[in-house]
Amino acid sequence: MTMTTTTTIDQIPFDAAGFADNPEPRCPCLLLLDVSKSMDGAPIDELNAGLVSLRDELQADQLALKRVEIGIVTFGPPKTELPFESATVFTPPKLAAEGDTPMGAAILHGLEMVRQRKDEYRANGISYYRPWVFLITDGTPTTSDAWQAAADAVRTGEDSKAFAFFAIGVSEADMEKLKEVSVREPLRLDGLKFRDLFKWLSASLKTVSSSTPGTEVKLTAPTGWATVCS
Amino acid sequence: MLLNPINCTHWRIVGASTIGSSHRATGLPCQDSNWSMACRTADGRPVLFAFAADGAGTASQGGAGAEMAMEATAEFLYTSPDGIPDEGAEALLVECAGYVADRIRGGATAAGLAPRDFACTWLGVLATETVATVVQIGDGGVVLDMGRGLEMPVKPMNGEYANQTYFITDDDALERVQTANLPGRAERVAVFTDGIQRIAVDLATNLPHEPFFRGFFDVLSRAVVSDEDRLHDALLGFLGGQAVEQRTDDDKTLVLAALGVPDMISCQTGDERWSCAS
Repeated sequence: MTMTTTTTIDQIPFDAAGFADNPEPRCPCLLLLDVSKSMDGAPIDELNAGLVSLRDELQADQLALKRVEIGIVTFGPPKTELPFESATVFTPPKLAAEGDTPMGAAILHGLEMVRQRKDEYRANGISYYRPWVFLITDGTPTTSDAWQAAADAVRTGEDSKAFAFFAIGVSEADMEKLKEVSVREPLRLDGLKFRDLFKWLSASLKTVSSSTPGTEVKLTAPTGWATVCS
Repeated sequence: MLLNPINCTHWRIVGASTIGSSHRATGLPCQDSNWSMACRTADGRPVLFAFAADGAGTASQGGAGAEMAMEATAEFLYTSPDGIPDEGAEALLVECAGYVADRIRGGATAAGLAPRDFACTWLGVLATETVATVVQIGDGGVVLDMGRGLEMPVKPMNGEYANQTYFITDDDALERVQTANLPGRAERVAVFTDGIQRIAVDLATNLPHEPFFRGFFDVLSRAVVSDEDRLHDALLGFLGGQAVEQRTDDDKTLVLAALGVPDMISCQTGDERWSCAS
């Protein structure tokens, strides 16, 4: 029998020659912000300051920075203040108070933005986390508003886990109306603690955006800025 | 099936599971596990097994579930009386999936817990000289070269969202389990869990990222059995190394096999590789 040459490998260069360069999974967060006339003065100033602290908090986390995307819809007249963009380039807008409170129309507009964003992710082979939609309002929907259609759309979306919808009422907000719109219990902002709210939001987004498959994210309680209205 | 303890196959294999930095940071154990073996069936046919499991982050006993899954897989494939069909083992591996799920359910009941507490993915390949059969539930992947370049016949099974997948402990696991039969001889095989998926697969197309695998397979195809221990250490070094850690913070498993140098020394002993999460 002939011996096979047993060329044992001394220095084993056991390594990948290259890594696949896949885009980071995205964690979209849509803010539906009430900028109606009643927000004028201190509330809108604090809301603007809150958005700045959201940016600052996200900037401090490398992974969240790569994965979180922020989009903003304002009402007044419902409009896209900021299309979804990466937290790396997120520049808080300077919001001014104007108009009335077409909350339902803004919700429908925002949910459509979320749906389109998901389509874009899928078309580009980008994986993503469940989108979050955050409604922040101090008012009551305008009489002619499509809030009932919006409430239906929120319920359908929550049932199919298409997104998670949170409602936060500021000062004189009609909490009963918010309960009808949001499946989850609405929260009432303590005073004008927008900065604490956005710090909590940022921390929660960090938790979600670093989760791996099989991880259902448990959010920390919104302490320090909110009360659950019963 | 009775397996012949003499190992004269030409497949060289190496596999390892290592803890991810996110698990280390939160005090979680490694929840991945793997099992691989190259041997001959009782009637002398060479056969290769390579399997992996990834315990769910939400499951309190996910790592234990992954270990149980690997033990049950080995047990089933050792003792299956029907042997390994030459035309493909799809039915056998679906049966194996059922056995693994039952074993985990039994283990959960014995521990006074629910099966979902032991949730894990389960995937792998069974290859003979004439056919390779892939089986998978959940994410991760099995990449093969049947002589025509790398391919990944079953797509990683993700839910809609990045933190969702499917587990062998799911009620509908047996309906969801996917298999693929590839005729021919598997020249190269890689089985990996989700922690490796992002760096080894181009996710937009679900095609294997060839440069990732090239270096491993080149070395493995030149290796002899006596190299395998050092290759195992080298693989552990790679998985725990900086290049990988800065790209993925999850637990990771990589099992590799390649047709290697014919090596009569390896006929003296069986060649089974166990590596469990610990």
